[in-house]
Amino acid sequence: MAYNGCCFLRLMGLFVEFYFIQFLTGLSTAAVLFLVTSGLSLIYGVTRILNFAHGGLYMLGAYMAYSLTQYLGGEGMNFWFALLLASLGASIVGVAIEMLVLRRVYHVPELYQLLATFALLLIIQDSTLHIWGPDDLLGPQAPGMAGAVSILGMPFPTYDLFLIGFAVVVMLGLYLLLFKTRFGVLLRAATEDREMVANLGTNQKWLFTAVFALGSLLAGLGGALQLPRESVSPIMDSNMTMDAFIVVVIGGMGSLFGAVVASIIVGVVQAFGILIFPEITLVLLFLIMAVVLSFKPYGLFGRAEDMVVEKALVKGGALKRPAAKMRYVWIGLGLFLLALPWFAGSYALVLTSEILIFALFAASLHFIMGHGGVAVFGHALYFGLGAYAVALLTKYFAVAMPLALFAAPVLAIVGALLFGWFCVRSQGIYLAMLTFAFAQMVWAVAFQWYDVTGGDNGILGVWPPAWASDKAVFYYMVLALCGASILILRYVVFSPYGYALRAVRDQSRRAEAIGLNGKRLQWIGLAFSGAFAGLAGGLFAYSKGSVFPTMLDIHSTMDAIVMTLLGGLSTISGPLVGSVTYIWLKSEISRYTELWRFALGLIILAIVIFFPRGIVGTFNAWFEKHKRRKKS
Amino acid sequence: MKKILIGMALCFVFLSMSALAQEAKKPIKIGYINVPTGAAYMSVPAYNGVKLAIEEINAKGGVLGRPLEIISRDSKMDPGEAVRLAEELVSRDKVDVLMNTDSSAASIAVAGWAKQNHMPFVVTASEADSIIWNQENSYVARSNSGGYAWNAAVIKKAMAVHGDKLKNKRWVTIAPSFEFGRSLVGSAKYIATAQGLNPTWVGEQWPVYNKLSAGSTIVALERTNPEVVYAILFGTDVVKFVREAKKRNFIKDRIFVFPTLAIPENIEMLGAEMPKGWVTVGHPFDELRAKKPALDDFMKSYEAAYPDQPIKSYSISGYNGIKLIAAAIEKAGSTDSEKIAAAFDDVQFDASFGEETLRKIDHQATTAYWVGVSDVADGKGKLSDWSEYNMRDNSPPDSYILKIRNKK
Repeated sequence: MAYNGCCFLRLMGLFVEFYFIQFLTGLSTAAVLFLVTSGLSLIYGVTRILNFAHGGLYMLGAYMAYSLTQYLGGEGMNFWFALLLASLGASIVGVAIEMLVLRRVYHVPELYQLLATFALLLIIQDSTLHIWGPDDLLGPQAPGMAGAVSILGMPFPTYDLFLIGFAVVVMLGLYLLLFKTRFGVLLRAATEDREMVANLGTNQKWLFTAVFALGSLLAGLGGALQLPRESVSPIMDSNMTMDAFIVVVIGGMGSLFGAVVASIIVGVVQAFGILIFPEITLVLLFLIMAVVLSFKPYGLFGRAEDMVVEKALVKGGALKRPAAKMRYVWIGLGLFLLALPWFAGSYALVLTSEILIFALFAASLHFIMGHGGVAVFGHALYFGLGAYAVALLTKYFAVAMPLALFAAPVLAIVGALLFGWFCVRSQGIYLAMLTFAFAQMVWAVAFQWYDVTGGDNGILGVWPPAWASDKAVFYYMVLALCGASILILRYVVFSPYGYALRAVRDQSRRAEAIGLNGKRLQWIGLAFSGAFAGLAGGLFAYSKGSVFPTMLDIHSTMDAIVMTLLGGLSTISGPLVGSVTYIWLKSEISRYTELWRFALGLIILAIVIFFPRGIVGTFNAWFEKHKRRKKS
Repeated sequence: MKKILIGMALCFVFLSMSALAQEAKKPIKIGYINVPTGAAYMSVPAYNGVKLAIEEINAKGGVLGRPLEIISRDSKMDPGEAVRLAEELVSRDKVDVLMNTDSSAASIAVAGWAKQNHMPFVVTASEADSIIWNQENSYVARSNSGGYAWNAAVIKKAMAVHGDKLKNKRWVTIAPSFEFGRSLVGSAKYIATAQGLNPTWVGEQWPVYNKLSAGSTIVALERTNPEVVYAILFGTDVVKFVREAKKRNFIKDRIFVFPTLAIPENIEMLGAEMPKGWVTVGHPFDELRAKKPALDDFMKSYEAAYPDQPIKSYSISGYNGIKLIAAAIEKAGSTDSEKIAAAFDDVQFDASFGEETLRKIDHQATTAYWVGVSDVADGKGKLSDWSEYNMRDNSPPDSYILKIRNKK
């Protein structure tokens, strides 16, 4: 056996077969990816909403297909009928989501829309778990396609071949729909310029609903078609969401052709990555995404859109210094925090330390997002870099705590300067996606570089030294560092640099005209805010005694964003109020219900729909109104 | 005056006694870190087992005359969150013991926290040996037996089934990149060599857990033209792998050693699609219960309590975890954390398979393994030709463990 006796040419021939089969395997992955991402892209093109819940609809399609094949039987035509019904079911859910929730958020800034769809994803996840239960469910094989065909002497699953063909058919169908029907003309027109379409008298409302119906149908179909390939499980969505995002970002959001090309790239790269670099499969995908976006900031086939840029975030307007009376509140809060160890138990100290650390993390994001107007969607990157700096230095060089805590922001600054240089060149939702890509890339490195970072085991034993291991001492250290950092951030907000940053945010062209270099100001702002996120990460590492890749992932980013928006973007004390509320809520909710994702989703939706100005912002507005009424 | 004094003294005695009685009735709290949203397939059956054990113990009057109370929290499979919960359970809820059903990464992290904070901690699901071997940690115990012994049993069974056909072969491995996968592949390599199989390792794949691209991975494995495939997969990855391996004719003429294939959850899911003749570990409950009265009792009460939920391996480890904690507290005679930790040494507890003893060297239970070959009968998967492997006989000598610890 083996190759020992084979001649060189035979060996080469054999490998060519392998490469071709692997290419086809990649295409079959690409086929499903295309179905899902074409829907995502169509929806984005028309509504300008990047729908996080799309992966959830894909999962729902698979679950419904499973239930229907159980009910109808998985034989013959019934199987295909079940798949069709399941896709229609996903489409109905998509329409319901659009009519009940998304219609209320079309006018809000893009980052809020992203959050709203993330909240919907959380709600779908918990509902699915509740309805179908935790076990993996195995559906039937496609009738007549359980076997393989022989290609170049190697077996290749018939069903995978069918998927490739089916995707081509769908592609042609979409082409005909878009270019040969009136509906298609409207869709394309809306993608080009939706205000113009509205002015010409098209009922936008129903156009949006229709595109959601179509997009969700495709997502559901993608999910249903997975039935013969894998068991249906409650985690299907997160795998797909990530891949689908990579595809639409690489291809260019809103571009159907881009979705085709990028699906093929992602599918084939994944397949060959496994063949050639099995150790870095995850990193590879995000690396491609980052490289594409660095050179083509709008993806391969996306178009630059000024319209999008202007409204990624809430406009802050002029920032008023808080009333002098507020000073007493701050002093009171400071005294309370200083006195805390005298009357609070150790858990309260641990919780308060965590809140302080997250307040700093949120404040740093608030600085760049609220004042800098940069829609960062991967702030966990700097938090995680700080934490890993501390952990790696402790593990490999036994560096003392003060030095390690100094290194945390330094590494974060280096990272922010490096990644930020690419990021600030793009804008709006693309900038958000680029920051997201870099964060995911570093997450993938931490996750897959097992020998250095320990993979998902993380790095353990990062405890503070003996003198600081007492909970009260550690608390004071956290209080001092976080308090000082938050004061510095606040000082900079009202410094000339802070005013310049806000000028660029609100009127970028006028700011350029008076000689402000907007890109550089934002770049410096990113590094500055990254430094504080890094410090927060370093402190967090010591407070947990360990560091994990999860600190770099999307949920960590989401934590920071939700805290910031919960407090209110155009406020000063927003991050503090936001982090207190959020951490308290999160730990309390998960004490009383296992449906914490559902509850969290509802809270986020409530913020986005009813309190887009956050707690502090809403309170301020109410207070202003009250004062005005008193005066008159 | 005297009467009053006596009365007061009596009152005092009575009051303090009732206070003591109150104290005695106060429940013993077990902080349970679980994963209902991270991996519900593991969490739900485990929690069933836990609740069953708690009910049984409390019905018999509890431990040290006090009832057991479980406080469950969701770690979401996030090790960082697991550590936070450990902190919260101990300092806020004042639990006496920690226990978990969680990933290996989270178990290792909480084990480190438990050592730092001197809290007894019982691992019930993870079988990664690094939790108990990599460092001297007297606070940690495990209610099931570990991966090394499991592997040793599997490879011995493979040798028994395939005989000399297993010698001098080209092996590939496929396992998830997380801790348990790495530690099993590591020990499998060591054991295969130690057993004189003289293997050549021609390839390895480390898919991300639940994210296996089965088709491409199998093509990549096929290219190395292996003769023996050592596979450890979990959850959705199992189905993907099995279906693709069949379609792509990867299984032809190859020996498969796949320890996690025949666990109850996979048997249930795969049904008639269970491949035949792969060496694997299982829980042949229905055949075992005839021989083991303790198991029969356990299964009867489980079936009564959860009539529509089949028993999983996690149900057993969760149940055994509570039994282990109860036995350790009983032996310690108090809920003092140092005393409980000390009581872990050689403690005996009545597990679902009968009486078990925790090993002193690494505080792990010595549950036996049932290793056989996968098979299909009446449209259902099963474990056939199985034999029982004693855990102690298949564990490495103490010197091996001490060597790992000293290297660290």
